[in-house]
Amino acid sequence: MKAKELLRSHRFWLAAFAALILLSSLSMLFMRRSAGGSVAVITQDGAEFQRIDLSKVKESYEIKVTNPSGGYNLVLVEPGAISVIEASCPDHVCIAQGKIGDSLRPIVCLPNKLMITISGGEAPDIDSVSG
Amino acid sequence: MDAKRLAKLAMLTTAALIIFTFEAQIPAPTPIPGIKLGLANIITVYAAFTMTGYEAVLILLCRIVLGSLFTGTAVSMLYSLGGGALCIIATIILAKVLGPGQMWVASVCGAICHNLGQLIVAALIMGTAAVFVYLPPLMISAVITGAFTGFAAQYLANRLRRG
Repeated sequence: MKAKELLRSHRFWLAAFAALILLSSLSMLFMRRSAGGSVAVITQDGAEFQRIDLSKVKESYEIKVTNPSGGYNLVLVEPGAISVIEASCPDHVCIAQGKIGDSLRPIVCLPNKLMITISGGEAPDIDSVSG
Repeated sequence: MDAKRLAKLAMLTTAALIIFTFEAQIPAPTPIPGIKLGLANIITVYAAFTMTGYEAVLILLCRIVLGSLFTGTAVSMLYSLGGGALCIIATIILAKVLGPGQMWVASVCGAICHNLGQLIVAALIMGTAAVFVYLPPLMISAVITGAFTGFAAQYLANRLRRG
């Protein structure tokens, strides 16, 4: 059987890749747990842009984050959640990532170098913006 | 370098560019940044196994620079260069070590290194290691897409050898 011979000769690599997939799947399952915290940190190009305590937000509002090369992301801040609703990047992966509220996963827009993470950081200056 | 070699390099680079540009038109399938088919690596893997390492690097470099000019931004070129650098090193090393029947292995390892390289570049640009939360799904994607493009490159090599 040619197929059986192929499987046998490749068994080391097949095992290695299968182990990698297994390990990755397991870590994804374990990452379901969140570390708590409700302070959203918006970073642009590695520098902190704004910090918002989502648990103190009473009314939803939007923030437009621009970057030097002309791109932008429109961030929606709601009570307990933050998301990107509009963006200049070609793929809109950041929009597809939806809302984050308390998970460990950040919202990332690679082309615009934007990242939104949630941590349990100290109280920020701004917790709402009117107008 | 003689004209025939140069022409072959140009043809492979063109093929890789066309595949890359085409694939760039397909919208991102998942919300996870960086997951894509990577079909242009069929050419990369094929070149690593049938040409010298130097030539494979040349093809990849031209494809990344021109491809980013056509379809992406300066930032996306950085990500591609970072991923491509790690990928080509792994692919060429494995091409020297493995037999021609194991292209898919080199392709998977290349894909793994490519995604790793992109995560490292992202971490450097964003200034944090938080992006590595995407490592598990990117590794799974690398194995699957790497295997697919590796088998495609294998098929290509077999057909070209017979012709």
